[in-house]
Amino acid sequence: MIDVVIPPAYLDQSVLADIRGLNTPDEDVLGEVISLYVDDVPKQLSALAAAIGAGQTEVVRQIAHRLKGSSLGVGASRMASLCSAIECAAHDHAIDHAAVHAEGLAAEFVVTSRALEQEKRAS
Amino acid sequence: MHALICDDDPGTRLLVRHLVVQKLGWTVAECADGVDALHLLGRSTFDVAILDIEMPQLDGVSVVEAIRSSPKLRDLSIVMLTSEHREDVVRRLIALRVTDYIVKPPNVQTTISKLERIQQRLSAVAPALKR
Repeated sequence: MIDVVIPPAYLDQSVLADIRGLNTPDEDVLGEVISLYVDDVPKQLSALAAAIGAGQTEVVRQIAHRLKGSSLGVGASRMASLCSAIECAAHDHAIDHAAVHAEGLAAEFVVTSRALEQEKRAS
Repeated sequence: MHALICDDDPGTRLLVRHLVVQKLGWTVAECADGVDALHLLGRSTFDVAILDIEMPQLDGVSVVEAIRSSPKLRDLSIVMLTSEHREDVVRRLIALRVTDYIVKPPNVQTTISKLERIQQRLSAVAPALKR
């Protein structure tokens, strides 16, 4: 497998620098925040897919909103934009549009999680 | 100073906890939902509640409404954590006398400034109340 290096600009580096500033010799705060995010997102993506399948627009909106907040928190701006699009689609009861964006979100997470793991190794 | 941090996102809670403890030297309690927030607020004394707006079971707006209608808690300083820009929600929170907002992602310096301002205000009020 080719080990692709994701450019740092893929993530909002100002957010990551801010969190990195909280690191101490004893505690890797950025690493902890990234681990929580990378562990949590797959569960949220599964819940999102299930809610879309069941046509539960309010649940879809809530999950997308939560994911938007946590993505902003790790500088994953592209994830946050897609979550915002899902949130809007769900708000408008456009479940088909939400489904399209959710597929994009799952693909985006593959790259984002790699970029975050790089940041974790560098922190 | 003792703060309650309530957010359903564990990463946000972790970040705000580190920020508050490390940079301000406050103590904190945490929870992930509005129902738990009201339990904790009823059991202990807090100086500030830092609340997410959108949470499962009981959202931040409902928590603020409950706080403001409680004789014990009605003057509690409240900071909302939000990526929410809906005008109706913001208007409701202003009407409920929310002390301040932190927009997600929480910027370290901005968050410290806002919380320090609250600490200074509470420190100025406390001696006056003792007189």
